[in-house]
Amino acid sequence: MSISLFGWLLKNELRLWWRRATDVKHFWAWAIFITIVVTSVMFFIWLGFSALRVVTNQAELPDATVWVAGGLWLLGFIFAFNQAVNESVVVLFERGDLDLLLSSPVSSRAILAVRLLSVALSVFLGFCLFVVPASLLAVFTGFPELLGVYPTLIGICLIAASLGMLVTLQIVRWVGARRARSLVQFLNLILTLVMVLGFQIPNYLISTEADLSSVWERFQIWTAPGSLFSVRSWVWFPAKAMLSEPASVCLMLGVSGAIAAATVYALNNAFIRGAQQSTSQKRRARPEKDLTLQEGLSRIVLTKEWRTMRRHPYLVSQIALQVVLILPLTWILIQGGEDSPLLDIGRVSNVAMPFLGGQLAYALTFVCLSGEEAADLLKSSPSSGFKLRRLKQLAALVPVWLLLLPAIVILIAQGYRWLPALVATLGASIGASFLRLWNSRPVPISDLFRRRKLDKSDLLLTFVESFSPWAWVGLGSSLYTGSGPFVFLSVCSLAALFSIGYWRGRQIGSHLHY
Amino acid sequence: MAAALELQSLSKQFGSHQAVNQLSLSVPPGTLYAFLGANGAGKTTTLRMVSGLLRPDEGDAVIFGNSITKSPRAAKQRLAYVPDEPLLYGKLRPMEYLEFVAGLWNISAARAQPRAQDLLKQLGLWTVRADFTETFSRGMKQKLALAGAFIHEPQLIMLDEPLNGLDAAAARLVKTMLLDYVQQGNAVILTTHVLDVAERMAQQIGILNRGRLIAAGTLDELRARSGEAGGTLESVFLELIDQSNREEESDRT
Repeated sequence: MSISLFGWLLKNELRLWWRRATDVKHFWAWAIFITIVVTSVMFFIWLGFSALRVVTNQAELPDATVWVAGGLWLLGFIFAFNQAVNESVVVLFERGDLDLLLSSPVSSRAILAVRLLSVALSVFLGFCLFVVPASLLAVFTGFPELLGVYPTLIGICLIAASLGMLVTLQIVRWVGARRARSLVQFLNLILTLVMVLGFQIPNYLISTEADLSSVWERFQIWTAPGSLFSVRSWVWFPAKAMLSEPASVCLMLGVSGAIAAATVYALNNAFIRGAQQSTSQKRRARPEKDLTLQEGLSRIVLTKEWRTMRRHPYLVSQIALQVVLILPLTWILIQGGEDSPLLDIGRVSNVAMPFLGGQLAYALTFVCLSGEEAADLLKSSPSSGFKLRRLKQLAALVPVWLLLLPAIVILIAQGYRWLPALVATLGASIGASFLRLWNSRPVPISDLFRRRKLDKSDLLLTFVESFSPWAWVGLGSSLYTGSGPFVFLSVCSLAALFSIGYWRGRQIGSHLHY
Repeated sequence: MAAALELQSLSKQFGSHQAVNQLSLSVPPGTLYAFLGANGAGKTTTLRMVSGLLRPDEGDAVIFGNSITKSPRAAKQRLAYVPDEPLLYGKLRPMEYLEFVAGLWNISAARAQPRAQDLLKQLGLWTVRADFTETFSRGMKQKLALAGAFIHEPQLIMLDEPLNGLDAAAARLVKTMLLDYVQQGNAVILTTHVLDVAERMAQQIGILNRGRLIAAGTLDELRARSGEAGGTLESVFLELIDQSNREEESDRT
């Protein structure tokens, strides 16, 4: 295949990617928002580099930089892998043009190589938004060796694209293209779980025989000079590549290139054997006992919503994520006592519970109301739309309350002031549910993962929704400390927010079609 | 006896486009009524207004004596609407879906249970009752939507392109079910682009063109009106549309 055809195919892929990436409502508003975020991040990076220059004041970066680079490499890889899987689902299955290309006279291996490169390139361009200004800052503040981030990034993107495509192919074979994204959500959840639990290690060590110093000692033994995991060891070549060490850079590019070539070979074999056809084959569901029908509108609506929730990977992952987030809190509460060395547990509960309750109520109400798949069926039925919406809200709120109930019980059992947490949590969850109701727009359930599709909500109501959890947190916290003026301030803020929300909701009317 | 459906000067406008214009007709019980028209003629808009999904700008639809605008609950209780795109829940199984629909129409479980099982068996969905509807083919979805329409035993069923996506055997089964239903004294209104189906099934035919009802009656009455004696419904339909377009043109000039 000629270079020009290869370039043309790659250009076509990038053009399609760019169209999808920019297919958002209020594109320029988003562009300005991202610019502000990038600029802010750059400011902090600049402060970090300046501080590092003052602290080190030497020609070479300290050894610990390898650990930091290793951490950044890992974070970058997780992000890149997630992006690569999502891109792979699109370019291999959803877009539906692969059959056309593979049936053309163009070499199938070249087509798949271009697909892999386009996935890698789209991930790379996403990174560049932050990496280009950060690397320029690094050069200007006297760390030109950090330009090694570019070859490292190329390596990360190639490896992530390769693994992403292979994993996607396997996931799609298992569960079909439609569910592949959902399973990726689960993979991300597991990664998040590992990271959250990792950051919480100090909390878990409270009141146990182990402590941080013993962990640190063990870490030092593993990373002592001469050992496999020492800073000088070759195993850290991905991190060292980021610091422009020539051998590591070559190794990084060589390894990633080899993985990409092997992936193209494997993909080619898979598609020649009919990977796409095998993905369309249906799996047989396991037969189950015949259903005995229930009756009563409330019962059947709640049952239907809960069935949908527990069968919907997005919702399950949302709930599981909240569980992951409240695990450390619950652990501290069980371990705790009034005199926790790290924090005031009662206050933390009054902050964390309303916040988590509000967030989860928001997510579940959003899916129950906006993700309704048969709005016309509901509207054409003789059942009251008002009652259906309230039942859907209730269906969203009950799991939130059940999830947070153990934390309240533990607060009561441990003798903390539990009433402020209960009031704020109930208020935050119910409030979030109503604000979501007023701000709801129908969203096809298949688009729930595509965040850019969700920006059809009203701007003012979205603003109110963003501030409301903090007002509830303020109320819970001030009720706990018994601070009268702050209680008054929180109540006034909430009254103002909900008045605005109600007024705006009435003004724009319901868009739910049922 | 009250008409199954009576449209009284029903009108709907979208922006500057008059989708339905002063539409009046009456469908007696025990009738299968075929609504014909080119794409964009206003068939679906009419059905959506009758089912309460769209509010008419003018006029009313009365279902067995119940106005859809004044007493919508009573009207909807007697009505089922099956759109061309089946309204299903991907994460529900067929029986769960039928349970939900029966609940929406406030049908007791004792009544709905045997009926749901019969419908699934009749429509060939009993063997896939453990599968989620998201795994169904277009035809299976269409059949389940039809079961959802029948589960609450409405007196008037409106179907938008009900035979879309059905294989020959399933299409025949659905046609038989609809004709049986009509023979029990209920009414069925369907839209279709397959004129052979309308010709063979419908007792009454209405032809819409640009939002207006240009002709209505039995096939013989339409033949007489079009001057196509002994013609097929296809030739009658095309002739009437042509006449209507010519009249509109001459009105404009």
